[in-house]
Amino acid sequence: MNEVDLFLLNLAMVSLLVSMGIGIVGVILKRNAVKKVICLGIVSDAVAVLLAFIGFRVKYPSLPPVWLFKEGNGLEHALRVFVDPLPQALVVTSIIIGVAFTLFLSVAVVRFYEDYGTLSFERVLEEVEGEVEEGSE
Amino acid sequence: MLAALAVVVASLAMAYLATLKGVTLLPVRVELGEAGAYYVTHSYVIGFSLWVRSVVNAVIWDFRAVDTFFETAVLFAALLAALTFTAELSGAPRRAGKGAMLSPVVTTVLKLSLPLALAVAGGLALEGHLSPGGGFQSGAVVAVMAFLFMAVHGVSTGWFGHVRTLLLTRSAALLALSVLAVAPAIMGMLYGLGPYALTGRPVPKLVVPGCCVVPVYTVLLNVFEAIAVGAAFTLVGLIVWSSIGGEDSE
Repeated sequence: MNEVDLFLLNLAMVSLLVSMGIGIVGVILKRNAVKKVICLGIVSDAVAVLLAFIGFRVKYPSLPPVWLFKEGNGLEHALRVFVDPLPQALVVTSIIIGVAFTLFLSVAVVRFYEDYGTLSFERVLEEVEGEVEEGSE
Repeated sequence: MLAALAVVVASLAMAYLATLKGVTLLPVRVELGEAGAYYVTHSYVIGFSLWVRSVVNAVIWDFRAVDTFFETAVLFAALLAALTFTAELSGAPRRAGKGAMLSPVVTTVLKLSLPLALAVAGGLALEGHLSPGGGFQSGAVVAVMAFLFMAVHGVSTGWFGHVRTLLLTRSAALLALSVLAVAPAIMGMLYGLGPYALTGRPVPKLVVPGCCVVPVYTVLLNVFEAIAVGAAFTLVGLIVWSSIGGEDSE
């Protein structure tokens, strides 16, 4: 594996980790609820790409695992050249569950906005705490 | 802006530093693992195989099909949980929402791209066993186009007759999926091939002379999953869109 390939793979890993870091920081620090949902989507997308990348074979040429040629004389060629299909299948499952979860979160955010009139969790918490303090005094 | 540039430069520098020291950050391999080799071999090659060309689809719908079955269940559980937030639905929309006064550019682009996207979705579902894609991706494309349509044209009172149709479609597709899940076991017991469940191997294949072998079981699984997912997402979008109220919900 020559240096350019090593650099590119390292760059891929570092950029995915940085994306995950940005997403997690965004979920915590952003005030707008919709932006929190978007950052959660960034985290799950970066994790999905990382998982699919783990099955990569550093042996060129490498093809996606789709049988495009005739089956009889192709088996050794396929085993030499196909990328590992198992992490990709697990990633498909994870993406589907992520989509369902994002839909659920979006409906929850819409309901939150209807009930409180604001998209900021912090403001609602401050108002509620203020009411609790006034009620106990 | 400066922070973004700093992050990019820092990540490039880290990758270069790792390359200088010869460290491999991403755990890649050179040979196919045992499980991967088994899946690649038995999806198209060995005699009693699946005749499915896309190995990832074979893994999802046959070798690890119970995984997909329960993941579909999780998907529908999340949709049910999302519907509990719209509890004030009384069977009729509280407002006849009109789409905003959008320019003709938007409506024309939607009119042009909707049939194309639906054609792509049909291709993804029907050819899921031949190329990357499959059941769920097709259903998601259908749902996204439906959401776009609802965003551009608004949800009016006439739409609510579609709820029952969507519910029936989704339930019929889910029922078909469960029947297909059990069918190989029944066929295996009838023809003495052994108790298989959720696998396409005992099911007879369709041999088109001169062309190819069509794995009917996997194709049907893809198509029904696409119909179920598309109908369910569209249904949830319709209910949520028509139940978020304006001034008359206060």
